[in-house]
Amino acid sequence: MANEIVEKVTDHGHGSWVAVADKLRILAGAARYDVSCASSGSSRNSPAGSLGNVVPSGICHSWAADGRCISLLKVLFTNFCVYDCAYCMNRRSNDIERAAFSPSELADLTISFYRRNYIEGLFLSSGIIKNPDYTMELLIRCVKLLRENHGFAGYIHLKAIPGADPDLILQAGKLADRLSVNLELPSQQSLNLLAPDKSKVSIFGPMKRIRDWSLEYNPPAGKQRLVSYSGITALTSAPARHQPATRPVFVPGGQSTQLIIGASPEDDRQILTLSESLYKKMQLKRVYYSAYIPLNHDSRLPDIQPPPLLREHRLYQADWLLRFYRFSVDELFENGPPLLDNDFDPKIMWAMRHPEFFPVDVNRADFESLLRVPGLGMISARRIVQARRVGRLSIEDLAKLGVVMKRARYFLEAPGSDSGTLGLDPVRLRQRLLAVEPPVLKPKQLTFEDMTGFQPEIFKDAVMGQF
Amino acid sequence: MQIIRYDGSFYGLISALVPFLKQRRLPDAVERENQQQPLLAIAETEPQTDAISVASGNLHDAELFRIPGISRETWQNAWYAFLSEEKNIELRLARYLLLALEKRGSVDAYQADERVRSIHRLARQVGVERHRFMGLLRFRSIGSNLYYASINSDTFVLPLLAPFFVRRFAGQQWIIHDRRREVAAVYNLKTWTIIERKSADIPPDASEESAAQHLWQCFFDSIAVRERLNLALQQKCIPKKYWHDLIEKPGR
Repeated sequence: MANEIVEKVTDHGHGSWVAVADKLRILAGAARYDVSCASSGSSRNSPAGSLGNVVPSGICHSWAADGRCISLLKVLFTNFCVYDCAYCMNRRSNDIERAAFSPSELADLTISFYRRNYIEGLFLSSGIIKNPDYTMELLIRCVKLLRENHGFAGYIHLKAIPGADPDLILQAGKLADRLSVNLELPSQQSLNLLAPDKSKVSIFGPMKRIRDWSLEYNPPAGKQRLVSYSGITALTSAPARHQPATRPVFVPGGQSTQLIIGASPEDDRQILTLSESLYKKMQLKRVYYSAYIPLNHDSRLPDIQPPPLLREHRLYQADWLLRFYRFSVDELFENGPPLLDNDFDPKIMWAMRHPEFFPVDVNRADFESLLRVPGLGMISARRIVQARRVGRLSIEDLAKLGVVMKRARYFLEAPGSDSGTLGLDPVRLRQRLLAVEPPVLKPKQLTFEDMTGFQPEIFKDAVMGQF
Repeated sequence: MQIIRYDGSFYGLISALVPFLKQRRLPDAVERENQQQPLLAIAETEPQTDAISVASGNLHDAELFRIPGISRETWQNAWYAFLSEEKNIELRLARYLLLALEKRGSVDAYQADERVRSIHRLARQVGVERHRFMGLLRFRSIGSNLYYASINSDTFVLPLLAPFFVRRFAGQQWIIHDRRREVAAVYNLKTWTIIERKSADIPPDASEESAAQHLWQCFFDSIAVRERLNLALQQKCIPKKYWHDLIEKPGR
């Protein structure tokens, strides 16, 4: 049956909208476990005659019933797959509804959504149909239609299919704003066990190449490009009337990856060490963490349990500290177990292990030290630095600046601060912080039993992609 | 008593305030003519006037806004705060701008000062709502290459949204209808302008529209992960006041 459909994909057949709706239901359902939906980090102006643009901040267009932002039309090109990865609901051995778009169908759907301001662009991934090269070619064909025939200058996130020919990945990168290769499992052993068709080499190979091409095609950090290269992809198709002398861009939004959390035994420190090296060595823009949701019954996988949403949340918080707050993984886990604290965010966890660092003087401390204070974020720290230029800041002033003092007051020193609350021993600090901390943070930790009307059939429907 | 009157536009307000600012004093009161239709005056007389270029940051062509001590950032804050339509915004702006002259350009660092803080807060509020509508605004096809969107915003974000959608959808004609203020931004492939439009004046959809809406609803339902259902978080991200104009139906 798969082959029949494969042949259908290659012609430019166009189903009625009812048929498209059916495919959309199946293929969006199959894509929903991919957590990335960012449309940020890239920038693209629209040259005359083209459609759309990309704003660096990214834009959320809606929020789904799970509270996650919808920014891109996130679908699989097809959920047919020749692989049999244990954790994946699209694996070959699952008996589920299968479907495939045709490139023109999906391109038209994207444009129709974009023109109505439903989306920022397209996030296209796919099961492996026939072989990696063939799959990659189909994705490229669809994206080419968008960029060249429709003059689409919105955001495109493409999956680089592991094992596809490097030339195809290069071609894809010139069309897309972001490429991603999903690592899924944090170690070679886990990959061997749970995704025997994938290997570390087939994942890190393309990742490295994408990094090297990015360096080659995009100017090194800190150097401004002299000529704007906006909408270059639209230019490749336009008749060579006014082709500016610029090089083509290669994934201006960089690359990202995803790790499944909880399907394999790695601890938080191992996972974050991996992320840190991906940021540093592979120059990834984002690592996404996806709490493992058991979709298949497989002896190699842990039993059914609620997805570890709190752990996922803590990992994101720690990831934030690595990327924006200049923490290192070694620092975070110094003098403690290789696990993040369930009760507190990782910054508080670090602060409680480092009483010698506090209190921090609001009027003297440098920006980096302010960033290390629990309760102070980028915005608060920046406001403090800006405001203290024109006068000494007291504790009351901080509140006026909009600094949330709930946690920060235990760590900050300024005129008016209560010396009784400062310089605490870790035990008392823990008690005081617990008193202000809501016991469970968002996203809400849900168990299946908590869900209204939970029934085993729903669980099965989730596997089949029928919501 | 020194009472100044202005036409309801930002440009009009600043024109009336400048003589006072130059003498380092405040008017006693500011009255707005045309209470019903804020900003309409500019749109009628000069479609792309200075107030609009403040929004896009093109201050160089606005002689009026060239006042030593008032930076671009300060003008931007003032313009955004003005669009909040907060009560007595005129006098608050006057105090803020006067302080800016006093502080010679560094006024926005005085974030603990109430005069600065309130303007920043209002400007942020308008900025947030603008960004929200950049995502939540929904166009419906009402004809050949003609699209219509209807909004009901707390603040007057329409003059901020229009330039954004001109850049994004330069090749399609569109109307963005602010039902609360009974005005609409209209783009005709060349320029955009703000005109009056009754809140009940809502055009019928084109024939292909219902299929597109159905497909979007279908995508919206399929993309949610049931195991992570979190309707409270969804509602926090899309407050209920915005649901009316959405195509998708949150809360299910």
